[in-house]
Amino acid sequence: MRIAGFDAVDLAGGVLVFAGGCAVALGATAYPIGELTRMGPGYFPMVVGIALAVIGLALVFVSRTTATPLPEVRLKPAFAVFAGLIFWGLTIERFGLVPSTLGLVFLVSLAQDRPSFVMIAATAAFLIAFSIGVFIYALAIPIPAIRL
Amino acid sequence: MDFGSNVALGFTTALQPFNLAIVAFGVTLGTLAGVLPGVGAITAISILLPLTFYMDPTSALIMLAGIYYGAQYGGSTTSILMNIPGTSTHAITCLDGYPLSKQGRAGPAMFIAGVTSFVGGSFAILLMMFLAPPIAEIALKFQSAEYVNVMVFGLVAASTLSAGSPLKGLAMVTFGVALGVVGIDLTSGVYRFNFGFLELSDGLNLVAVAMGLFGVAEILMNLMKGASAPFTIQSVKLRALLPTWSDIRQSTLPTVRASVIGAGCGILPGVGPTIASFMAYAAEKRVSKHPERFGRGAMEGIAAPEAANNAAAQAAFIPTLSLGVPGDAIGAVLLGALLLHGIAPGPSIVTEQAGLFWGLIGSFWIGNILLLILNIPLIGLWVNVLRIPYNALYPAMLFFICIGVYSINYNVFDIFIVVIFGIVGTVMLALEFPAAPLLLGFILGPMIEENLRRAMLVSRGDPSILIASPISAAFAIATVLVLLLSLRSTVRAALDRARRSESPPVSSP
Repeated sequence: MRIAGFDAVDLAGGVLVFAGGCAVALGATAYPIGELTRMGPGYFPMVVGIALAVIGLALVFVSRTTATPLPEVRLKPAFAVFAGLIFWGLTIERFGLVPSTLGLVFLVSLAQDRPSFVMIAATAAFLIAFSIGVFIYALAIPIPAIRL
Repeated sequence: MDFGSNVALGFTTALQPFNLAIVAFGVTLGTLAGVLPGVGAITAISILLPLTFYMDPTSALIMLAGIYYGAQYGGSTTSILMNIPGTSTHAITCLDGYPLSKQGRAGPAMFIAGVTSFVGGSFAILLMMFLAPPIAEIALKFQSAEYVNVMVFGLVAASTLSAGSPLKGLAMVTFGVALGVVGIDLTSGVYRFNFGFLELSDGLNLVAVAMGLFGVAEILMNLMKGASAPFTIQSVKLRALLPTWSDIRQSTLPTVRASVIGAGCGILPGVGPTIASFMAYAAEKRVSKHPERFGRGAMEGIAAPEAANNAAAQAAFIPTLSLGVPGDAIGAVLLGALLLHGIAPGPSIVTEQAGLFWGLIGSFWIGNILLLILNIPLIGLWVNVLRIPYNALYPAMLFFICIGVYSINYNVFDIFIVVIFGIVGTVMLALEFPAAPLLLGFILGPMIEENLRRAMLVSRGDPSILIASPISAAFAIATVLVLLLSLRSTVRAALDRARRSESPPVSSP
């Protein structure tokens, strides 16, 4: 993607930073601002939000006149990695360490172009054996290996 | 207590069997993290942080610090053998390390890297033993206004002096400060930016934020680049490890100079090992009679950055421990670890926690000697580590991130914080924003707010208190100077580009 007259990477970054700053400053208005002598809970975030918005504007200004296209974004690795993490989070307490780790290793391995099932199995087996030995027996963290 | 008994106390603490084992464990893991590309010290420290909850604070700090300076040794191996920096602090070592490797001189290069790392580290530890206590002495007299200035200087220096756009660094540091606001406001008891989640009452979990930003985001960037091409690794013959006399002669003076440059960078809050290694390399190139040798396999090109980054990594503990102001993002995580152990960072650590402070120094000496052994006679071991395929490595890292973050509070909520900051970190990396300043801002932000509010309360709202004392004024002036100097080049570059694009006849949009 190219935007005429702008460095797309810097422009996108600047706009994001500006928007973030505005959001923080707006959010800060929900709390008492107070005054310089007795700053309320909203004072500091307000200042920080405004500073962030100003830096965002400066980034947009500096970004003018060169043209770097936005980098190609491959979504498959991102989906695979985040799916794996979310799966682990959702299953660890309900089903225990073994199933959640199996699922994690399988899902995040889908990020590869040609996942090898031998490697998935070997990695998962090693991690499960290691974590049962170290985390459950040695450190005794309160997670069951398997809960049905 | 006098100096001698402090040092004795330090070694007695560090030589306790458990602490001895833990420093060996820490530096070994640090070397491993350094050697493996895509696994930085900060990732390794965050993954192992929960393990330290089972230790006393001294052992915890000894282990985490060992990972940090251990990674400064290990990273050079990858730079020399594969032309890929093991960690960002070794990027510059590739320039001469890889050419040396191609000439079949990887062995001497790694030998020199190990020895110069040791020299740089030792110099900075000596400096720390003599400088940290008097600095802490002065810092004990600091009022809120001085703290605000020192910390703001640290943030500005860290964000603008790093490689890349200073504006982007500033944006990230400010974003980090904003994130630090989340949670209960200690003065008023108001819940800020918690979006209705009770889990956010104590603020965002530091480890979860760090793991998302550094661990998950880095893994994703590696995967998205599709850098799955098998690494070609030269085999290293141990017999060919010894350098020649001319190698040693060429490296001696650069090592001394780089140790001083590195330690100087490390002491300044916000200026870390990466900048130190760049500065030392540039300095050697400038003083060299044959600057054209650099980049083609000059031994000085390895000695200088390796001595500098180790000196800086060790010296960064000076501000971290004697002021309570972290030298870099890793220092910030270490202070976070101390907080989790119930120790408030600040100058009182040096005096009131003498066992911790001097025990840590004792462990530095032991750790550096262990690292010398690990990285020279045992180098072949680490070369083999590089043969682990990334496709087996990254699922394991993601698993350790999950279990590490979860076992801090046994709360699944923190896993979702990792996911959110993994997304934030990936977007940031893709748009070329640096992640380290964000973490520094996140840690220092709440301390700045607290001290700023206290200072304003004391002065009845008169902002001139912020430049009233000489120390405050000096740091305030330094902050403004750093800002002006770094932004000047940005503004000039922007104006240049604008002028250049105006001068040729541009086709109408």
